[in-house]
Amino acid sequence: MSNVVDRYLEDLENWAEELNETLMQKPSWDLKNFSMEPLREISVTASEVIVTADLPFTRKDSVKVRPTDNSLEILAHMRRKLDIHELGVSHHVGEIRKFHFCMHIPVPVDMSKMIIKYKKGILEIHMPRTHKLHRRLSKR
Amino acid sequence: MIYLIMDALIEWGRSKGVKMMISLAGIPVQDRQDVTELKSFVAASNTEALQVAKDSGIEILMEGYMVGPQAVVLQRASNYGFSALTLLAQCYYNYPDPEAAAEVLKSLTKVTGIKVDVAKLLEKGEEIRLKARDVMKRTQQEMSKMKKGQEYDIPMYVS
Repeated sequence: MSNVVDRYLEDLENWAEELNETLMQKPSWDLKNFSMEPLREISVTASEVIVTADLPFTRKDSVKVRPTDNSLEILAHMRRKLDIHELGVSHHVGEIRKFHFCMHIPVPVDMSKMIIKYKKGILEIHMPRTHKLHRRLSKR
Repeated sequence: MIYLIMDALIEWGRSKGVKMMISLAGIPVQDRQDVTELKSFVAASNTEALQVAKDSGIEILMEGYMVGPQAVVLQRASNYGFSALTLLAQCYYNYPDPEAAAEVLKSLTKVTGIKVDVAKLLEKGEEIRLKARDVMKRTQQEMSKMKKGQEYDIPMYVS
């Protein structure tokens, strides 16, 4: 039985890895919308969800965070337009003006209690979880 | 792949009769953006290298886990009996960090006496962060494959 579960988990892990690699194949910039996706990370702790994003060339007042039920949309205009050639992409013509991305939040959070920090171009968003772990073990 | 590359580098160094191999790396720190003065650390492969590290005044890493190319250099150096140092500056875990790169280069100056101008590295920091973005994305995947997270493990050694 445990072999079956192990194999199932291994398959699931491989599938997740393949999916991740497929998603990584698209360019992280979109010249139609003059935007690029920033490097970002999400971590889920027992009490909160923390999202961080690296937003070089931006200012604190240019960052907009729009929460929805279970996702977060982040838009940050850059201080100056960047020609795509400046990034070493020579086979396309266009410019980048902003960072833009949407992120799914995997567990329920209270968006109204969100805390947003921005320092040295790093955006950090803390969202408290609504269902904290509080079930106690029975005394038996 | 890491072993192949590092072994080739080490063999090349040994064939040239190098006195010491120095690798530069980072040591992730929580709330990095709140840290104004980055610290550097050093790890050594043998007592001679440790003495060089002590003379440089850089804080010595006495215990802990190390994963990646710099760990391979230290291990091979220890096995073959030559000197190696790894210099590590506090950095972001998952984002490019030109400030940390500048800091580790300053540590290199302390150890070797070779001056490295880091002004441009700091001046062009934002541009580097942007350009290194896609490489960093791939690096994040590789880091998880090489189980880089083990560096956070609590050492089991008890004195």
